[in-house]
Amino acid sequence: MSNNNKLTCAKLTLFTVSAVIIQIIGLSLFIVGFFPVKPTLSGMSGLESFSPPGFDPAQNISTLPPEKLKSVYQELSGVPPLFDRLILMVIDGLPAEFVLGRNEKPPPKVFMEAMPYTQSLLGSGIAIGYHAKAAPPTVTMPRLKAMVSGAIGGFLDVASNFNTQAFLDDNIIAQLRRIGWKMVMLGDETWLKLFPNMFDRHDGVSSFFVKDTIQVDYNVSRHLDKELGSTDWDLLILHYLGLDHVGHIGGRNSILMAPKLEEMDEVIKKIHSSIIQTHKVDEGGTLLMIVSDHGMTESGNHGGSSFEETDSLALFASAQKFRDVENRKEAYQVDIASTVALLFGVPIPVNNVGTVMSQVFTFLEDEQQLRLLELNSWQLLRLIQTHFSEFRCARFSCDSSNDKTDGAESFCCSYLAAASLHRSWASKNSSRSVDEDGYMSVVLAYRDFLGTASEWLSSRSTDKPIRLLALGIFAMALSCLVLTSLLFLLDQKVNSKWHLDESFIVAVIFILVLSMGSSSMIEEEQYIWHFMTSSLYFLLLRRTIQSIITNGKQSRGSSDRIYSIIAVLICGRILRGWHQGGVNWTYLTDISKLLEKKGTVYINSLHLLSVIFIIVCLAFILLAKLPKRRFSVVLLLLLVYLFPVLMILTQISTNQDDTRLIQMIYALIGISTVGILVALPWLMPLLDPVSKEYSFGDAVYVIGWCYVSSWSLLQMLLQQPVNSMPTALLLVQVLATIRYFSQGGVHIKQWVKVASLYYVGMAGHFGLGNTNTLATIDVAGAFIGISSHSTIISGILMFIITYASPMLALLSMLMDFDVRAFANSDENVDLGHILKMTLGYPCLVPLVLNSILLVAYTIVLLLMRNHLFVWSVFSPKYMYVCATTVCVYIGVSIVALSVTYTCVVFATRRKLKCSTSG
Amino acid sequence: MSVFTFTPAACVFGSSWADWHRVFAHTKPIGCTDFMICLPAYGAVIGAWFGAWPMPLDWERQWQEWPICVTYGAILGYLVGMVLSSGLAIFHNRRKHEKGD
Repeated sequence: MSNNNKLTCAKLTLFTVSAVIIQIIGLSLFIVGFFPVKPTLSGMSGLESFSPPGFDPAQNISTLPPEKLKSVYQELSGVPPLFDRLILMVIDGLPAEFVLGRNEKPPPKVFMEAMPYTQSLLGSGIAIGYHAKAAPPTVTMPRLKAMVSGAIGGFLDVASNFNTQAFLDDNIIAQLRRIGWKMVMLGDETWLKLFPNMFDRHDGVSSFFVKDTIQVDYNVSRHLDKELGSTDWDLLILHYLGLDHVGHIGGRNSILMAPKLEEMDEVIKKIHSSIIQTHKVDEGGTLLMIVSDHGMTESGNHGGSSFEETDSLALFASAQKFRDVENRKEAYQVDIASTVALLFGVPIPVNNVGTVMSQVFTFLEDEQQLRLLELNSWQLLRLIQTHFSEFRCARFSCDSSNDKTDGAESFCCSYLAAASLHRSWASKNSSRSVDEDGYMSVVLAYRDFLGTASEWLSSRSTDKPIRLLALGIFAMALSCLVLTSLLFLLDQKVNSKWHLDESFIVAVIFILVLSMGSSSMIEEEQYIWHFMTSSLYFLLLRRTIQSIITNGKQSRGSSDRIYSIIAVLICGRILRGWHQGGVNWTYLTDISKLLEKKGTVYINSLHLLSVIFIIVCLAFILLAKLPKRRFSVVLLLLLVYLFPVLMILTQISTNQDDTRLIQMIYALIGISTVGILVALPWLMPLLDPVSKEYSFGDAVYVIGWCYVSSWSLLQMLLQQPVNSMPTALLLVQVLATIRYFSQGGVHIKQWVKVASLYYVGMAGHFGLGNTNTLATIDVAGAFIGISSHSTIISGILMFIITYASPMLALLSMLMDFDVRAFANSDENVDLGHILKMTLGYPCLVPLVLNSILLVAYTIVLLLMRNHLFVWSVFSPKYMYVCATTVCVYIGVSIVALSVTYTCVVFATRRKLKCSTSG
Repeated sequence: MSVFTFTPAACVFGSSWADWHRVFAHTKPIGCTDFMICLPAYGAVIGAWFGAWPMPLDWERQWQEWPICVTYGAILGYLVGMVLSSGLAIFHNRRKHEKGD
């Protein structure tokens, strides 16, 4: 006991609270660094993109018919459209170096010979090809989005769309639709998911069957002749998946690669010949664009950020030769959007960060080419303006002596320099004097601005500020260390033997930390938790049986303990079977699917049954613990809860959403819980009349019982009906665990109890159907009982539904509290010491367990930032880890505050009693 | 699983409850035969436990299905237990010989 006197209650609280605050700061820093919120412009760009930033036209374009809109755009842009139709051929997974070579070297001979027609087009100048560098993750859907919108999306863009996959941001497909274009899509059905109802004709091909390399492309090509012959479309999208599949099967040098490239070359020849045939002089022709969404590694996979994976192709071919131009053929994939927009006379999408590929526009006059650069600059300038508030370019005065500092000023100066050069060139030009050098200097000035602006804007999306992230991790690791050492300092008997189940509990954490590095283990985390919790309880069972055999059957409540553990194990198994969960095996049957097949009658009756079951369990556990003479207390509690219970039963049986009733239930439950918490410590008799012990323990127990009952009743109301039985089973598990621990006998350490409850809570979380993906969050339940739309309340309800299980486990800690410290203390009640003994473990153990998982997972996320699954698996899991952290904070705070309040009240009453009687 | 865990013990101990208690409940095996029963039995159980780990991984191998994975684990654990117990027996004999000399 002596070594504990150094760690007083005040110090413990101080260190814990400061560790928690450091953890919150570290977490916030990391989140801000890893998931940057880049300001975006909403809506679609319209007429204002043809005027400089700051001028907003009054005309409302939504009322204009497509034809009129098209001519208005044409008038304002000042650039005549070079083509009037576009064929966009996406070859999935084609690295640009197969076609263009790398670093001035031509492509491998095999590939050159496989695509003779394309090489001839490139050689004769009819086609120009670019290496269009893609941003990670190099997976089809994000890359298609970047191609059509010119914006590099991050995780938050994915998360905000988790209800729908339709692409709602401004993009060229939507812009072209606005001016009345008819579109046909043949190929990867991802396009149909991104742009539902935008295509007049389509034949979507599933991207699921990776082993098929022939049929998947044949399904696209079979329509080709018909489509090339018809004239009713303006945009034809062909998305060939075959090459990507060839890569996945056999790698870059697969024997199927050359034949596939030949097949693609045949398609290109067919399309190009058709373009030449239908080309009429003095009429806009058709432009053929061959692009790829990403490349592939040597082994044929993609998703990361290596050169081989990000090396995408952007090739432009038409009926006429492009004028001879210099050989700068490096660009970015996001440049495609602005180029296509300017080619066809529509406004550049509003969040575009790419710069126009000028060499495609060599048919235009100098004046018009400068106009293109001007339009692109205006659009980028508008986007930059959203990053800096109070930014108006006209206000800055730029001297050439100013240092090129980062920030609004340098962009502004760079743009103004280009604009003034443009103006002076234009005035010279109007006086008919040809000024070649002047033209080049204007182009260079614009390119300088465009280059730096584009780079800066892209880096806002993709750069991870390593220092910020490292600082965040350091803060979180520090807090974890502080909490763990506090836990060790709290340990009373350092020398006692460690049992197998205790080492197992520690081992679980290590195993969990290790498993986080594997994406499959994260996707199927429910199996891990169930496995670990069941194993833990088997070990506890073994220990109980051992002690029974050693001590003989006279240890009291031994059969009770065995039954409790078996109940936990059985409930756990049923919970595991209720929802299949995970990502990879969701098609397997589980109990909830069987119930849904049976029909709503079964589900509703089961719901009703679960509510009654819960009520019976709760009443039983209350009566079992409190002795008969406390009957008045018991009666009072049951009466208080009777009303909400009856209302819930009515609500469930009528099966209609009666908002007023539900709000009354919320209010009743809330008031009863808070009321009991506040009033009970005062009303409960201070001393137990028979045993002459302080009834502090009983008071804490009853408060815990209240929390558990309120929470369970709330869940009955909020969870989906098919989830009601699992909630009941979860309650049984928690109550059985409590019962097991409270039946003396085998002496189990306090931290083992808390950790076991925490694990049961986590296993139950997955048992209720939650997974580590955002799709399983029950959004519908967040609107139960709300009459007017409120994001905050919906958010709270969603949190309550999703984190039902961990919170239940944390709150139930109150039902098995070690209150000996209160009884053992003497007249002068040392409040600090009592609180430390009572609250030390229950508060620290969940915090420590959660901190370890948080720090470990943050490091894993940082290491995996360029992994293929970073946005689909690792980031959603991180959101869940953060939410679990919040849940643990809230649960521990509630427990700590309740016990502190009760303890203070009891101590005061004791002092009062002692002073009056003394 | 039952073959690995119970059968050897049943053959040797029969219905001697005290022996069963000693080996399985208290885990205090005495003598070579006890070791040869105890270690492989525990080995089989622990091996089966570890054998369950590859199951959630999505490598799409035939042997990852239930119960193949776990059975392989049990067999492996049993074999490891056998090897260990034989090793211990040999070691014990050597010590006895040395003491005798």
